[in-house]
Amino acid sequence: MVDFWNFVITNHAELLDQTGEHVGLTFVSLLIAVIIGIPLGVIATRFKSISSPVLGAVGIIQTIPSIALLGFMLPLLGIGALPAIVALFLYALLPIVRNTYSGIEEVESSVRESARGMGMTGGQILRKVELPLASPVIFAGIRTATVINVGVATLCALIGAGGLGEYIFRGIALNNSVMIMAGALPAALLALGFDFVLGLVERNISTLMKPLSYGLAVVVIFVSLYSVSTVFSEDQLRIGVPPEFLERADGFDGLQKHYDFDMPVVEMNASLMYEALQNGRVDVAVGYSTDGRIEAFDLKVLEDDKRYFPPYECAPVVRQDFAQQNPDILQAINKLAGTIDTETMIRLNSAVDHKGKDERTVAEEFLHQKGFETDINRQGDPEMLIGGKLQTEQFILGHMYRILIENYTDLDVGLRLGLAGTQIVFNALLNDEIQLYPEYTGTGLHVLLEPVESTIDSLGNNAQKVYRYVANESQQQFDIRWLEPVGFENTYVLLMRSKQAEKLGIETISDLARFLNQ
Amino acid sequence: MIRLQNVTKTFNSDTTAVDNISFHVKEGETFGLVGTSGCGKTTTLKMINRLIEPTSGTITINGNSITSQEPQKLRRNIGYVIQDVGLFPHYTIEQNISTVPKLLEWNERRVQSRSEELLEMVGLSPEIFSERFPESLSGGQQQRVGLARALAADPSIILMDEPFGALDPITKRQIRTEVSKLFKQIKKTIVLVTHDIFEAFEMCDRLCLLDEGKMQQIGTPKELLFHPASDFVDSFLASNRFQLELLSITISNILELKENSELYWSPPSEKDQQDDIQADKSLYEILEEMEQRNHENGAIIHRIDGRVADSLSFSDLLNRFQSYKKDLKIGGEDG
Repeated sequence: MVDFWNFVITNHAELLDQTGEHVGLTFVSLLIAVIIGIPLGVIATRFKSISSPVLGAVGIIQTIPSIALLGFMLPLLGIGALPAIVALFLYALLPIVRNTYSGIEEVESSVRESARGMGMTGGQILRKVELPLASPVIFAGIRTATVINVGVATLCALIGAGGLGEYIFRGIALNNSVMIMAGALPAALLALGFDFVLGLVERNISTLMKPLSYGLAVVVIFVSLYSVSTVFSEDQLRIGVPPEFLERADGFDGLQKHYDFDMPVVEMNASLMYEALQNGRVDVAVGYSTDGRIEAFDLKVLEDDKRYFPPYECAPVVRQDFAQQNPDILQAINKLAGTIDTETMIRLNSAVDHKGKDERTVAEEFLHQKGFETDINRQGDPEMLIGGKLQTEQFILGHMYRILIENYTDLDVGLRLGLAGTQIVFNALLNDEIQLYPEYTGTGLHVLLEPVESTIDSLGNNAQKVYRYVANESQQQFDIRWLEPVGFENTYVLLMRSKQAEKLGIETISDLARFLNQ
Repeated sequence: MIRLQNVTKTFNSDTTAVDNISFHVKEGETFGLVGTSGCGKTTTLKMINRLIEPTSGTITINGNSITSQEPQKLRRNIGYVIQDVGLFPHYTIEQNISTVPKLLEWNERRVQSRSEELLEMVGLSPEIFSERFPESLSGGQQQRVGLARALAADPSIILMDEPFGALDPITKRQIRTEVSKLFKQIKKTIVLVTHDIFEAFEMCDRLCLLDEGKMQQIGTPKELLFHPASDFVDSFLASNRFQLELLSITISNILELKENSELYWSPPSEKDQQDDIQADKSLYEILEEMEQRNHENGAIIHRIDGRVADSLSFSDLLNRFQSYKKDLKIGGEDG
């Protein structure tokens, strides 16, 4: 609890920004949903033939898992506030359209008949009779939509739209429950608060209807425009950063200090980074050196000329007790040692990310080509589990290890790939929930061991020294054994669009810092 | 005043709801559309204010085709009362009554005074009811407001669709009597749809009996009773015949009233006071009241020029009724 308050107090400015973005996303989308949804509901009551297609369509949208809906938006609208607002708008549509429709349908036919019989026009019946009578139901729909939107808006952080989801996802990646709470609690309070206020309005709707709806609309429009403008604005260079990188010791803060620059951050999922860079949503992105998309998207890797990043040699890590009990497995795993250099890894990643092959096939073809047995494929209950992070190469490596172990021992292997973040995978290993996963020496140094600065300096970013230090310390501190490196290095890199980098004359991170400090 | 000529309405091109109907509603009369449910009476009514458009045939009001103006304009000049009343739940009683005057853009003061006047007219105190909402009113009170609303812009025609159908028998009777009296005062042309034959006999000057969309007979209640045009009309009335006959024959029919005739009860309900009887009372009402007075030697006294011409007991009245009926059938005369 104390941790939580400290976190909130230290980060209150960012938290406030995120809350603003969150409210903005919620209400801009809600406003659009009201403006479109109510007329749509009315039209559905007027033309019975389209009522079920319309209600069916908005109903189907609602059944799409929210995270998938956000995913569908990506190829159409890229990332950022726009696709988030469109997705939230689609979500808000169902309660508003359906409640407008049923609110009007529920108006007693005798009331409608007497209105017609007295000589009201269709428009008069709608304005003076149907809408006022349906307004409590319509408002209940708006209220439902608001609460749904506050919840779904947390997911929008995944596509770089900001909001309170940023802390939640960063917290998940870092296995930091205080951080998760710092995002989740305000989101929950927002939902409750809006629900309460709108509930009050709903109960007094007949008397409050006019002044309140106008007042509310004005406030909402201003708040929304303001918050969205903060999301959309700024014409300086921006950097896209995955949540984990923001908080790591070898992460963004250190990078800024090391090169002495300061630039606005757009937090987003690593897998969206390349898209964002290509679309110009960000101008610099933090990526991985082995990523096949660097070449495919024509991106420039900025040279780490002041050697900020440590070496990130990839090597499998296992529990000590597991290693002792299963020498045959270690033998199988070590067959891969030194076989994949960085070039090769880029090519394999590219085969998955770009040519659309699946990881399993890529792994199998590679091993086959290297002359390993790949024929055995067991389907039994797994006797050991291989873990992996949410990166393409980790998927490929996971499959390779499985094929090797199943072909050279008689064990059945299961996979737990795509875990979100170093801490989560590492904890799973410590708890014996998985027995093996590929890790990087730099990450082991800065994230898992976190030695004092003088120790880090003494290693001088030398690959062999770092490997030795990390292997020794891991064994002593955690009873974890690092096996032989696979051969490639996957370091963090800063990426820019080649054309822009050329235009601005940026080759190295120092160049970037110089440019920013002009 | 209202004239329907060869009006037909078919729904979905194969169901004929109204089949070639023609009739003429005279100014100031109460005209009933009667029949079992599904006979087309409501459809016929709704074609008069264009809530339903006829498939063929013409409808005119005062010689002008109802299609010569916008349906909304037409409806604002025709009062409309329905079974479920259809008051606007979000409007106060006063706002409900003022609906049509406001559509017609009357000024504020006129709208308000009209609303108060109408509430008084239908027997509701404006002070108590103006600001209340419909849900706080009983069914009978709601129907009174519905009636006031229909009368608001002083239309010369009022269409009523089962206006008392949703009320309990006692309230129904009471309101019906009041409404009949009111209509006689304000001299409106009324078209009343009802499946209740007693209601029709009590309220209507003339009736049109419909069956499966076809007109069976038009005429006064008495004509339908004593000169049915078809077996259908006869059998439609058969089960209630005695009661209907009593309802359609007035006390003046069976007595030979002169200019200076006086009718009164004997004995009077209070001493030294004369209980006068109106000459247009139906026999049904007379007999009913006589039962209620429950006096051993109770009778009706008929005086001409201060001289007693007749003194009629319950059984005397029934005898006169029987012989009057006999004359009717032989003579083919109608009252």
